[in-house]
Amino acid sequence: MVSKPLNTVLSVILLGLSVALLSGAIQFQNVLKNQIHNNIKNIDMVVGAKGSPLQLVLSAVLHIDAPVGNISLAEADKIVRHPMVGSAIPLSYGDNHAGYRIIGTTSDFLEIYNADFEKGSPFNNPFEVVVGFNVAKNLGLQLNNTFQSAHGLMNDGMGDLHGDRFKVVGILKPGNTVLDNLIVTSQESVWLVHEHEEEEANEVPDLETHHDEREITALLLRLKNPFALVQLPRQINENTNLQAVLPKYELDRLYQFTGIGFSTISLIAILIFIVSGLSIFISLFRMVKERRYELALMRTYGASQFNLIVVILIEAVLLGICGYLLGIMMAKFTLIALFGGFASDFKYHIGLPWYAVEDIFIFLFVVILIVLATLVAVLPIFKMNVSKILSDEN
Amino acid sequence: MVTVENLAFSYKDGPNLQFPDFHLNENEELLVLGASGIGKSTLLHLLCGLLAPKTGKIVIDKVNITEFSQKKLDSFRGQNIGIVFQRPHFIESLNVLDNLRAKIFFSHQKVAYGEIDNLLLQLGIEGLKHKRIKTMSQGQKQRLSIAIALIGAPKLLLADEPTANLDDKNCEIVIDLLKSQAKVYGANLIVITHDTRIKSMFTNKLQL
Repeated sequence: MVSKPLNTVLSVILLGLSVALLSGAIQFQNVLKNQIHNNIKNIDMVVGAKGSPLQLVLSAVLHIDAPVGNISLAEADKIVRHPMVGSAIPLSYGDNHAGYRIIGTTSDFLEIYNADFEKGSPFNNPFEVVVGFNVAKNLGLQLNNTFQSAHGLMNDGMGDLHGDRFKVVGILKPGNTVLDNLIVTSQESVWLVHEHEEEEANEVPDLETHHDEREITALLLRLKNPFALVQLPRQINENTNLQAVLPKYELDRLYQFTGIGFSTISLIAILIFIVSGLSIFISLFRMVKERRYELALMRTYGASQFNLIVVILIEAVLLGICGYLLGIMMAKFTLIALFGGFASDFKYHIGLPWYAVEDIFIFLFVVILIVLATLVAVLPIFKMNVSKILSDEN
Repeated sequence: MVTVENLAFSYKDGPNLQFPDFHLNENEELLVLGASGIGKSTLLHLLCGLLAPKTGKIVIDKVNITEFSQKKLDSFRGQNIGIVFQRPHFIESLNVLDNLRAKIFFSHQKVAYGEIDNLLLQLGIEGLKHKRIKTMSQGQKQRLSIAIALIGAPKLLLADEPTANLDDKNCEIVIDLLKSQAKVYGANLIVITHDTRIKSMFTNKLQL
């Protein structure tokens, strides 16, 4: 095959491309599935302002989209006291630090994700924060560091810095959940930041009315029984001006939509895989024809037909391994670039495993493809008339 | 020792080719002469087991190779027969040394590394060990093909028109090399040719 380097390179690239598409699509899907699974494990239901249910889930559960709106604490309290509700965790958004979202909540929020502390402890007092692993790593935050928050959820330079300083009291271990990318504090902190703002604006604060106006962004709920999963959302959606959504249902739907895309990519990948198999077969077949004299020569050296087939098989499998490694590398770099872009745009870091089990299956498929292509391509060797080949050349 | 008895062959739809009997004792040489198309190459291919005879016996080193299976023939050929072709052919993508190693590999023989150097030295191509086949001259290629035929010390050295593409000077050199190297390795040499220039260089001759 050395004599036809371009053909060989083309075969390897085709094979690499199909491996890259397959491996990339599978890994992307796995990461998505894991993210969704890790993050909704302990959340049965989300309650927030009326609007897009998917947006509510994306913002309050995966913390990537903008919140739908705020709901009043008083109304939220009614839900929390509902007999079917097992536990409820309030979430208050409002600020960010360097693009990472600051969430006002209770320390139960950390427990949803079974968070482990790398250093420090949970927040107890206002303006104490616990930061996720990626936040600490990327901003270089240490225990007892302080920072000012900026208004809004994105670090777009538009939000003014607030006067109050947050202090880091805890840093979490990586858990491959949304917590990795969040700054968590008490609800009071978020309220206080904005009250101070208002105090500065109106000299005379009206504490009485202020209390009633307190708002949160969403409630994460665990329900007492599966029956509640059916009943409670309907009750809330019909009788209040809140919206209740089951994140599992919404994300499954999202996953189904993206699944069509993945199936299409996989189908294209399989087609390219077959084409690359054909291309390798043609290269090998031509090689067997073009190098028939060399093969005949090897027979005169004492090689059996079987030896010749093994020689060609080794060559083909080496090609296959090259294509496979090329593909895995392409998939890896593409995903790293993709997630890197995602991390810088959304401050949402996604861990990528070095190797997926599926990659091993892909490798087996590549080997099977190569072996099949070789076995068909070497058929002429069985019919090879060494004497005739040697005579014809003379 | 080589003995051929009652050997006959026919190609599909071709005429019957009957070959004369002959016997070579240890270290004996034979020149087989004949015009084109008379079956010289056929005889050579029969002798090395690339073709199966219709009738007859070919005994090399006391074994009748006409009774062997194809696989056994392949391995017998590798270990006992060296072949030099009219136009030398090699594995183009390998260099000189690796072509020699390929022969050793496929013939399942154990050859000391010094043996390769020694052989190349005797054939006057010791400096070409790492040269690529494409960059070699015709004469150098013919010497290399003799080296490949001889590596592993075969019992029988077959040469098919080894001088057809060579000028008078090289013709003589190549035949001398074949004869002297066959002696060194204690192999029987059979040269098949229509080249009358080398007729006088052999005493034992067979006309087809």
